[in-house]
Amino acid sequence: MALHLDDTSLLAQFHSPSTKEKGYTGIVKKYQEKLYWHIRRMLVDHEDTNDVLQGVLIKIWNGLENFREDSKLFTWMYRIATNETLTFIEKQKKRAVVSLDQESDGFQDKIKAEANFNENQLIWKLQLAIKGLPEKQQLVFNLRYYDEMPYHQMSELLETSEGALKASYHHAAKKIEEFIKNN
Amino acid sequence: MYKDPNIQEELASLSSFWQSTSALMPYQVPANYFEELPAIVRSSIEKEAVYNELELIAPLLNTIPKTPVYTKPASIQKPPVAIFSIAKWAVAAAFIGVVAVGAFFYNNKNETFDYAAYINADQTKILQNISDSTLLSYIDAHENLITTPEVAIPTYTIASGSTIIKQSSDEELLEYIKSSN
Repeated sequence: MALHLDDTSLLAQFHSPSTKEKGYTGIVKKYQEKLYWHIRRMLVDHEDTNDVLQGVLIKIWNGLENFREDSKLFTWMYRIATNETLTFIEKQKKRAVVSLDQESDGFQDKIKAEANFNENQLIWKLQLAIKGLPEKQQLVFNLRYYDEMPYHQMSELLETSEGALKASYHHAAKKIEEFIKNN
Repeated sequence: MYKDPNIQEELASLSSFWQSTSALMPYQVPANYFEELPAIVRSSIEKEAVYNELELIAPLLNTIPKTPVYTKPASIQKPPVAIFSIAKWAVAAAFIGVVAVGAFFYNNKNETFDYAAYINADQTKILQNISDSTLLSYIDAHENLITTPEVAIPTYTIASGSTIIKQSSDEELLEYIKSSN
């Protein structure tokens, strides 16, 4: 596993004109995988994820100059990634309505089209179950279950109270369990 | 990132079902994707900077596609298949090589002089085959050689007419008178 500088050092590099690109590349290398998986869990498809992630990383480059260090760098980047992903999903939904697509969002079909998909494996059933949840619940569940994010950080990211997030997470876990037991 | 140690406990409190699940993602990522992504993003940032710059200066230009408009004339033939081209050059190279080697040996051949044949040749026979004019030309060209003291020509003293008449017999004189008439 690659060793990375702490956020303060990376931001200091970014704010110095001679090391700006080095600092940015350090930030990208440190967080790209976490951001990728955060987006991909929502979008499923790699190409869609790649498009959104590149847009996110460009927004980060443009916004880092004005980044207020009173919030955590990681939380700030996650917020950008979350907003970009939700915007992408909304655009896809509008396109589906225009083309009279009867399916809700097609994400479960995308999961089934993935390489190595096996509907009998629990790991794949879990993905299908998560994609059956409302988007906000998906986000909360993914951030807690996969990213192991504490509620206070999630609260800052999603601008929702910790109590509401906890309730949402528990609700999502119950629904997923029910889906897997019935399928 | 800080990891909450109570995640599994929290799920276990909801249901024992979650003890059988794993937080691994089954999706695949293309090889070297994360190694190449930072450079791709840097390239995209540069492209965006160029676009934004033009947007401020002359936004109309950003609406024109950058696809090439020039096309090759239809009459331009594709070059011959590469293997034919290689064979052609190989034949030409071999031909040049043969000519060069031949010229080298031709120019460097040793001409040997057969001295034994020269010494044993019949000089009289050779001289008989040479015309008078050729011999005269040779003598003219090598006059100094002939007059050199080392190549002395024997001197003859020609007797006077009366002496010759005295020394000749009557028959010889009669023969001379007949032939001169």
